[in-house]
Parts: sequence; C-alpha cells; structure tokens
Amino acid sequence: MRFAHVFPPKVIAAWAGVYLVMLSMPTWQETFGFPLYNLIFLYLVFFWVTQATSWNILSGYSGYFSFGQAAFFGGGMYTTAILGANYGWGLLATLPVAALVGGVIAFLVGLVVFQLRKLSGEIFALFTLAVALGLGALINNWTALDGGRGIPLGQLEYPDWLGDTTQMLYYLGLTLATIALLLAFAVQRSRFGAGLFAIRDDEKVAEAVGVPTFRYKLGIFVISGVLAATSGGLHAVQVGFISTAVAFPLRIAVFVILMSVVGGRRHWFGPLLGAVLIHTLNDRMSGAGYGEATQIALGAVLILATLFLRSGISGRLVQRPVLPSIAFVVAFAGSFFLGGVSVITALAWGIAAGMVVLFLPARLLPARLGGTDRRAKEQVTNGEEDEVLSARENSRGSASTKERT
Amino acid sequence: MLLLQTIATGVALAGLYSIFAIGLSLGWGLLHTINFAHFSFVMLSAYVTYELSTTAGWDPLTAIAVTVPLGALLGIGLQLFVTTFKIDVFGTLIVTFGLFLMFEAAMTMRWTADLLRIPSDLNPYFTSSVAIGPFRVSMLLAIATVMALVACISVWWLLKRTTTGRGIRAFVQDPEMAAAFGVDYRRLALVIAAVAGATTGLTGTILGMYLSLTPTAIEVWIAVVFAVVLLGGLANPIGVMGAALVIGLVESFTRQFADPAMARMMALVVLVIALVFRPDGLFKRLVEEARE
Repeated sequence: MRFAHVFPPKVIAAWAGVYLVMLSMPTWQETFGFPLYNLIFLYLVFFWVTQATSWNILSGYSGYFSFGQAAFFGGGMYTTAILGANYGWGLLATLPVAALVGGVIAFLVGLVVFQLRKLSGEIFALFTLAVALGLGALINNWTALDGGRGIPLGQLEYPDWLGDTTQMLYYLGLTLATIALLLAFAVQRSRFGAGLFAIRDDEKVAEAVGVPTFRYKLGIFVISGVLAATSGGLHAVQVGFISTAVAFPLRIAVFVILMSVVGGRRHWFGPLLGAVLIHTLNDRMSGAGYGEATQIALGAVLILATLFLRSGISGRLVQRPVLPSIAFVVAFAGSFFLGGVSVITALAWGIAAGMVVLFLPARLLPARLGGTDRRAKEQVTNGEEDEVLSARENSRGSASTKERT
Repeated sequence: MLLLQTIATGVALAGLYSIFAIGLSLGWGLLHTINFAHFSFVMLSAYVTYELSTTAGWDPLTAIAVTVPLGALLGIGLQLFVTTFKIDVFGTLIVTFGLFLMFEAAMTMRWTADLLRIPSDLNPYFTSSVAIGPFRVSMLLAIATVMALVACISVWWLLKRTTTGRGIRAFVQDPEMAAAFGVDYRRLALVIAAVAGATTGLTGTILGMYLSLTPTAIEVWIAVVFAVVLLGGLANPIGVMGAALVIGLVESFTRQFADPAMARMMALVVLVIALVFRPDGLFKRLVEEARE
C-alpha cells in the first residue's frame, strides 16, 4: 500500500508523540512551574519555523529567491493591528483576513513578475525586495492605515479555552507551524513539488516536458504568502506595538534565508532544523547583550553557508549522523546538569557543539564515524544536488543560471 | 517658473542618483557581481567623511581624498574574494547581503545607532545653494551632478575608447575567445572593481554632508538605486544618467505637485511599469552577452 510506504506507522507514531508532548507543554509549565520564558521561547521557535517554511516552499523548492518575506509578514501584522485595534475584531476573525491579504499580495505580485518575458532569479529577488520596501513606505505615509505613528494593539478577544495570552500564542503558533510543515511535506511529495523542483533545476526543460511553470510558480507564491501573513498576523499580538519598523524589517528576510540555507533547502525538514538552530543561538547571544556581534556572526554564517554548505546542515547530518548527535547530547547534558544553566542556554551549547563537529573537515574523523571514506560519496551528492547558488562552470563569464530567453 | 524650478531640482537629484548607481551598474553588467555591499561602502565613506570633518577639522569635501581610495580598495577586495571563490551572479547577491549585515552591525558598534550630523558651521555646502540662471539648486546636489557627469563620461570613455575597455567588453561578450586573444580578465576586472568602488567614495562623501547619519539610513536608498540600475541598462553609463533623470524628474514632480510623501514610491512604480513593458530597461546594455 502506498500510504504505508510513504508513512510507516513508526514514523507516524514518533511524530504524533512529538506533537503531543509539544501540545501538553503549557500544562507541564503550570504543573511543574517551568520559567514562563520557555513557553515564549518555544512560541518564537514556532514562529520562525512557520516563516522559514513559508519562504522555503517558494524559494527553496522553486529556486526563486525572495527578499520580500516582509511584504507578507508585515501585511499580516498590519491586518491584525488595524482590524483589531481600530475596529475591535477578535483575533480568530482577523487571522483569516490576514491570510487573505497575504494571498492577494502574493497573487498580484506574482501575476506581474512571473509574466515578465525575461525573468531572472536576480530580478525576482530585487523585485520582491522592492515590493516589501515599497509596501512599508506606503503604509508609513498613508494616514488611513498608519501614517508613521504606529498602532498600539490592546487586548484582542479570543476564546477562553486557549488560556492566557502566552498559552494562546503557544497553541496557535504550534498549530500554524504544524500546518506549514505538513504543507511543505505534502508539496514535496506531490506532483506539484516535483514540478517545482524541475523549475529550479532547469526551467526551460521543465516547460518543455510540460510543467505548467506559470501556474505552479504563482500557486506556490500564494501559498507561501498566505502562510507568512497568517503567522505575521499572530505575531502582532506578541509584538504589541505595530510600526513599519517592526513590520517591514530587512531582518525578517535575512533570518528566513539564513535558516533555510543553513538547514537545507531541498527538504521540508531543513527550515525546521535551521529555525531551531539559528533562533536558539540568536536568542542566547542577543539576550547576553551582543546584538551587533550576533548580526556580524549571522552575516558571516550566511556567507559561509552560501559558499560551503550547499545542501545545508540536514544534508551533512544525513552523511554524518552519529558524532554530532553525541556532541550535542554531551554538551547539552553537561552544561545543564553540571553547569547548572537554563534549558535554553544548555540547548544553545549543545547546538554549538554539534555544529562544530558537523563542520569538521572529513579527514580529521575516523572513517567509521563518517570520516574520509564517505568524503567521496559526499562530493558525488553535492554534485547531484547542484543548486541555484552553486558555482556552475563558466558561471563567472556566462549569463545567470535562471534566465529565459 | 515653478515648473522650471521643479525640473531643475529633478535634474540635480538625478546627478546624485547617477553617481550612486553607476558603480553598481558596472559591477553587475561587467563583473557579474550584484554588490549589495555597495550601500555599505557608501555608508562607510559617509561616516569617514563625518569623522574627518568633526574630529580632524577637514573641510568635508576634501574627505574624498580618503574616501575614494578607501572605496577603490573595498571594491578590489570584494572582487578578489569573488574570483577566489568563483561565486556566481546569484551567489554574489547573497554573499554581499551577508557583508551588508556585517558592515551595518560594525558601523553601529563604532558610531552607535544615534543620528549624527556634521555641524553646519563645518559644513557650508549643506545650507548654500547655487544659482543657475534664475533657479536655485542645492549646492550639494550640484556638486553631485558635476561628479556624476565626470564619472559617467569617463567610464564611458574608458569602456569605449581604451584598450582596457575593449578587452573588458570582449571578455563579457565571449570569454573564451577574448582569453585566446590574450585578454587578462582578472587584471581588467580589478580596474573596473576599483572604478566602481571609487564612486562609492564620492557618493559617501556627498551623503555624509547631505544626511543625518545612522547605520540604517542607507536602506531607504536601496530600492531607488536598484531602479536606476535596472532601468539604465547594465553597465551603460549614459543609460544610468538617463534613467536617473527619469526617476529624478518623476520624484521631483510628485513632490511638487502631488503628495511629497509618495515621491520615493514613484520610483518603484516607474520600475514596475518599465520592467513589465521593457524588461531590459529603458536603455540598452552597453555590452550584449552572447547567448547560446
């Protein structure tokens, strides 16, 4: 049976277990008195998982890098802010509207940009960036929407069974992240996903073999926009005071690109992994007062990942699963039980240790544990997984990789 | 009268946009580097101008003696990095975006996020204006226009009339054939990168006198400068000036006769319309690449 082949019962049981643990977390927090910050931290992880996945199903799958994540995120945020603060709508009523706004923005932008006769990846990236910046400028200047003053968001109405604001954010954030991951998984396994991968690998060939490229690109752009805007609409509650500075920052595009590139763009699991890693490290470093240093480090990681990590951490982890996991567990347990630090700090140490081991050159490791003999295999895999970012032969001299003539 | 004054302001604004965009256009069209860090280089030069003027007491305009070589060095450094790692066009966009973030954070560490401005007694250029016939144009924009004219015309001359330029154009058109005829692309590319970098020094000094500086101040320029680059046709200095003129005039007219707040938005509107109807920009690329 096909279903059992794609979803082995064990895998389903494992994920259902993870999901149940996640779902019961607020109850534990109340019973055992964990620090409340852990719930907020988890909500932020869900938020970034949703945003990164939303970006990745468009840009990772189809190869069209968007710099315009903020257009959807900010659009959703302002929908909640305006409907909630100015018209007194409840949160559960504003979220579908936020989704609609995101979908409409994506549809209109996609309709224009994918019609272009000669659309290269670079033009798409800059075009989406311009849309995000332009939308921010528009809202900043349009007094009916904002006019540059910002919108303070009071208490929004939502059903009582969702608990207090933190728990409500947690549950809804978890739901959105789950929907995003299920969508990413479903798209990846479908004919639609195969078409998108074909577009990324070579759009002319994809078109020639009958992939409806325009419809597919527009479709995935709308799905991505809907996800990002809904998540942005929810995030408005967490932020509290909405201004164009928080709703249309360059940072959001940076983070989702970074998370997906570091995690791995060819697989639904990549952005999940990347979001957990990057958010944990960023949270600990910024929390310790190294805001600028964190940004420098993030920029450096973005450059290094672009140059040296073409299939992302998830690709590397498949080849070298054992040692990094051991390093992670040792560093996590060591710092938590012996060092007496908080769970999140321990997680950050574990991740840092795991990543160092992951990045060690293969020849330093014994062959049995993912050392030299797998190196040849890794190069083959890298060759197969030639992506948009990879330096193709003659790329310095010839035209871009994604150009229709 | 008001109409003519609006045109004069638009032309002067076009000067600033051309000097800002020409380096980016050269890098993209000839070196296949979309240099997002161009904006960081400009901002760095602006801060250096501020620093030289306030602490060393220089006349801010003389700061170009430092910022131009600084920009050229940064351009050369980036080009060496790009050739060493063989980064493709799209890769350069992401990598230089990472650089942009690093520069922004580093500048925040050094100069804080507060607004900094060269005091007006040290910066006579900001308040004065020049009279061209009956019109008055801000002195700074007039200087920018002169710089832009000099820079664009010399780049055009360099590309069209010198052996270096001929070699570069030959390489962009057909790398293998050009190499067979002895074109040393690496060396020529460094010349172009240095020229492109030097223009960031000029732009930075102008902006250092023109703006209240904060590390994120440069973000509002990104869209409009890319609009000029794309409309101008890549690596076409005359096209850059033409595109800057179109956008400068549109902006100046919107500011004068419609809503000033919408002026910057109009550049994006022009870009969208132009991309839909003329995807190659309003002007031709200087060098057409051979296509398979």
